Amino acid sequence: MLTILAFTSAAMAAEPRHEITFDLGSLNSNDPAWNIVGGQQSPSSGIRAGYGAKPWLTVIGSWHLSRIQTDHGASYYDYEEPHADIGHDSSTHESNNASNGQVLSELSIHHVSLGAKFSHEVQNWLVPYATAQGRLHIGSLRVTDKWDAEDASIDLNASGLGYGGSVSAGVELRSKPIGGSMSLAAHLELGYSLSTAMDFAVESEGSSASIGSLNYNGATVSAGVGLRF
Amino acid sequence: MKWQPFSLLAALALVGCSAETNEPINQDLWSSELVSGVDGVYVRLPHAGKLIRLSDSGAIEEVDLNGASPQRLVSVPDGSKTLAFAQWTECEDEDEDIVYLSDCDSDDIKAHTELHIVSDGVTTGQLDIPSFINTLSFPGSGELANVAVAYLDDTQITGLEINGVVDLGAVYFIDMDQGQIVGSTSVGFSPDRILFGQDNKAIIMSRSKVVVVDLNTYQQAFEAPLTLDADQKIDPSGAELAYDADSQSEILLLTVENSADLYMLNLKDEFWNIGDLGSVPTGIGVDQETGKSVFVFGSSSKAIVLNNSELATLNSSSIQTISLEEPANKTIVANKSAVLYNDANDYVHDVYRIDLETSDLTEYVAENPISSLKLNADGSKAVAVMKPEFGSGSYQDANWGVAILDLGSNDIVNLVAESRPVGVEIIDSEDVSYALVLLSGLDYVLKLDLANPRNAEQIDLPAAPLSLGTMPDGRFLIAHDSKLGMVSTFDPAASADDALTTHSGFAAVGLLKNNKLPRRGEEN
Repeated sequence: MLTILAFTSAAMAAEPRHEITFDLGSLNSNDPAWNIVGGQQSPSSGIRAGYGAKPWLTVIGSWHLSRIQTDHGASYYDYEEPHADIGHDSSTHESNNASNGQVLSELSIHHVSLGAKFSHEVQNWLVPYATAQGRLHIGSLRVTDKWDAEDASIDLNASGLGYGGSVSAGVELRSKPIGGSMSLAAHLELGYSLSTAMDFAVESEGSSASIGSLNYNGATVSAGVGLRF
Repeated sequence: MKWQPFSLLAALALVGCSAETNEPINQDLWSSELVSGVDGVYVRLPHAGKLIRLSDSGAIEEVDLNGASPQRLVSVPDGSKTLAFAQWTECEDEDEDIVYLSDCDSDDIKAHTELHIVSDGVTTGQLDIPSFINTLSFPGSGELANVAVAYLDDTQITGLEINGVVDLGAVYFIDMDQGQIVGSTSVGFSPDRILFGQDNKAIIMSRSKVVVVDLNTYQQAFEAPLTLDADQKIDPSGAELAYDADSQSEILLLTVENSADLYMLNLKDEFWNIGDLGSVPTGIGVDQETGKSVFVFGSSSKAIVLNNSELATLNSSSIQTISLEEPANKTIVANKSAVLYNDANDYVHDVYRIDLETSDLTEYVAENPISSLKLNADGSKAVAVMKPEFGSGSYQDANWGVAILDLGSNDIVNLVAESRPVGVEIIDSEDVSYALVLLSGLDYVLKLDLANPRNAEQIDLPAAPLSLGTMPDGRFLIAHDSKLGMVSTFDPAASADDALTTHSGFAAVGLLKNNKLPRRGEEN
């Protein structure tokens, strides 16, 4: 963050070609596995910064964060008093199964992007644009029986990495320059993203068993406000 | 001051965008009905539709069932293999755009029932079986160690689905080494138990008849009807095999519902003999060492002992009746003795031991009525769970308890339990027998040295136990009440610090399931 601030400080004396914005958005996925962790839309927020190489070309980089906490429900079957020995076989009778504790998951995903933004100034205040970006999704998944780690008897942590890209089109609204070197800007953009799956696994004593995987293959939408300098 | 807008922007971004949701999972993450083999503990994950193996080291391995979802697990008697009843869902429309189950038209969805043979965490055999098959029996060791017999036990039916026309009385013989069905035969309506006799014979009881199958050829050797009247329905209630040393014949002893008749089928010469026991028997035990058979009667205070060599000429003079003070409805035979008890009558306290060599009777009086009873391997000790006695005033009578019987003497130790014992298992080491008692809702189990049961040891557990079992290597296996999965192994002979080993969190495997269609021939 300090690097970004230093970068913007140095650039402020020039005409406003660079940008920094605060974004809110949603990344959608058609992967049904997302339904287990709150649905197929991941809200995200973060920062996007751009370096204006040309009036029509900006090199953009961004960091966004999605965080989803899910309670997987406390009563999805009726509990009966246990009565059976394990024996040498098992059956489909489910009434003797576990009912204590919670099933909670917390998914945090850092989205890091780098790409180009192509702009065409229709009016001083109205600038349509398109972007193409490469994306890295760095996910961490926590599965636990208590939110408070100190109280949890089971607390699993797994990480996954996915990569891909996105294209988007949007429109940017710019204010009149303030003091000749800085202006306010707001944008709204829609796009589509493709990525490889983030694979999460339970690691134990040299073994690895899959918890599952999540990808971002779907539409994206984001809106933001920021400064041009 | 001019940096303030940027600092605010950065702080807002760092907070991130959080969402809190509630997404109930509709199925259990794991089934606590574990199967323990020599190669580890197998756990079924209903939500994920997966099977995993837990190793002693704590390693969690997924067993590849080729896209099928395990429905039920059974271990072979020696623990060398685990058999998984599984279901594979096929979409008959092979359009590549159909990726998830929800994409497939319901008319194109077809469910296949399979049996997977798993050894050392790997499927070594996979075969299609009829969907109604729900029970497996095993002839045991030796040359038939690789054989399993599969059939429908209609007392175990859950959600039976029939496609077309099927023979519910079909019994299938499976070669587990080859992974295929090697024979089948129809045994009539409602087969409900199979015994394995000499000369590789399977004796299958069904309504109104007994079918004997030669396991060398998987063909019916002969069929023995229980009645010649086609309108009469005779349902077997108990069956054991006895050996008549005089005629060198194996005899099937069969009792039937609501009848005092004892049906005796000579398996060598293929003929029935029928005797009258005077009352409706509720339990049979056969001791091959002494050549005696024992019958008990829930509604009559007597036991009958028969000499197996006199079965062919059974008459009133060859029936030895032993009078009891209270009726017994169950018997367990071991070590030349028969232990008799009653788990159906809430007012019966007596447990008896009959020495089958001398016919001496020893009476044990438990403080409370018996709920269940188990013997250790050599038959020298018995552990009984006692239930509260209705309408009684004393503290012990009003509570659950555990009784330990020394079958070498007439000693009985009655212990009161803090809560209901919901699981009892016995493990014998070289010179000591231990019982582990699981108590409902408590975070500990009781370890009893059966030679010194008054000094019960309390074993604290990381979570309340749910079920209890034994492992082939002589350890106890405990499933805990924890939704994310927790099991412990307990070695009664180990030091206190090393005795308990717990594995947890394994039920998270497959949590993020995506309902992708398991296409065969592709990676799932």
